[in-house]
Amino acid sequence: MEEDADTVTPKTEIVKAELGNGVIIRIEATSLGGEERIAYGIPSFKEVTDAVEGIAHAVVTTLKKVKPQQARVEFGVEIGIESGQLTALLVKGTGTANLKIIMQWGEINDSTEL
Amino acid sequence: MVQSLYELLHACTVRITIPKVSQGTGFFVVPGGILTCAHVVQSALKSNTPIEVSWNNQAAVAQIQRLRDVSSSDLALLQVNQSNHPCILLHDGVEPFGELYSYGYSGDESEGASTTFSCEGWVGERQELLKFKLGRARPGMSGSPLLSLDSGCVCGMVQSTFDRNIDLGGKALLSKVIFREFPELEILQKQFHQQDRRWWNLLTRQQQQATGLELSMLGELGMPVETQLTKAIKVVLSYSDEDKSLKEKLLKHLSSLRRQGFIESWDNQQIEAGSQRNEEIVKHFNQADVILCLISPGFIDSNQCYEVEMQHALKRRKLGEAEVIPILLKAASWEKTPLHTLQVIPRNKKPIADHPNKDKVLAEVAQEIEKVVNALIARKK
Repeated sequence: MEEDADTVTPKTEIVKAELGNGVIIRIEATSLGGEERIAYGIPSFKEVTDAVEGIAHAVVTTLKKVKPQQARVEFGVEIGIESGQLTALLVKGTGTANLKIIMQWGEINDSTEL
Repeated sequence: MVQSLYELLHACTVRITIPKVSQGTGFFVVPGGILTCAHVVQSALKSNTPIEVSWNNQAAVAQIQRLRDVSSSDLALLQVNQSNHPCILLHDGVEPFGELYSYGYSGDESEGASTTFSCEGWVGERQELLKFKLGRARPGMSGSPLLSLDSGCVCGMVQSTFDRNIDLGGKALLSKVIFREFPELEILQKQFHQQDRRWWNLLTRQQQQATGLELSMLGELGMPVETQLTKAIKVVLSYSDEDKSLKEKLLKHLSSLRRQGFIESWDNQQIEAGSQRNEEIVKHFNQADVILCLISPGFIDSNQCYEVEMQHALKRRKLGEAEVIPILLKAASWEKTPLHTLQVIPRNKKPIADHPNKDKVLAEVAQEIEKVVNALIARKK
């Protein structure tokens, strides 16, 4: 795997996050470092799900223009922690991803819904 | 019983909880007033949740009194309806390489824990932030007071970390930002520390001087700080109980001298309950630089005033240890007392009580006293 010379080896951290229903889960997240304000709080998992939703929508919007007979999109999302908040990283390959999302359609046209 | 500055700092520190949302630290800066970072309490506004504070087995709900923007000075002043707590002493006075001590309530040490850091220096042109290192600033420590070991004062408030997992340190808001944003704190801090000397007494003489509070405290509020007592002229009043109200009026006219720190006044109403009354009186009369004898029929009639206090005063005057000023409060046959050899005021020998405008004559009396005080100060120099 090719790496930029100044790429810092990512650090993994186990962080708590709160799901929409109040359940607390622990996530193996990649620390993105950086200075952060330090009020203690449990970050919401919503940041990640919002990002996944956004990525999917963006892909579908594009595919609707192309209207392919068949389509398959696969992407990996790695969860990062930055300034105390969860953040979604779209990663190359899915080896380090926390979530692997596969979207598949038979045919995409204007009536295709996500 | 508080013994060290560290323990006192701990006693001033509070845990701030916004239930189910966030947690942070704050500290008592004035009675009933808690300082913290705006980003610690901002979520309470958004979620409309009460802000719970707890310290030393006590708990209260706090209201936000003042709030500054999180992206700029990031300060919040909270208010609780309690004042039975000590307060920190806020003062700049931190140098690069200086040692820092903090107490805070991080998420993983929610019972509170100490952290030490080393000061690196200021950040940016305005030098409003302080960088510190060699300690782990963890989530929940925002709003923790940062004690400078050099000055013995809280020089700032922890705001951010460079890495929550390792001891890279972080940044703090300096006390000058706090005073700039909430200028009223300066006066309130002085008022508090004049009355509650716990913090002040734990500082070394050099630290006390470095605060610069000594002179400004005297200038603003009068009551001289302890280190100043030796310099202020001690004025002791001898009077009869029935003249108490006139004595109080005279003291009011001496307030400006007191506020400027030129004099410190004492009378027998300041004797604390439980102390030996006569011993206290003798002690203060022995320390007096100026003794005011408030002449009235009651004064001449009182054994305590006439036989004890006046005789003691005249003896010390004879030895050149004190000035004695007879002040004619009410008409009395004072010419037949040993005081008649002294210059009585008012100089026209008209008793103060007989004047229609008592404030005017009392102001003149205060001026006469001031002249004597000024002469004594000049002599002491």
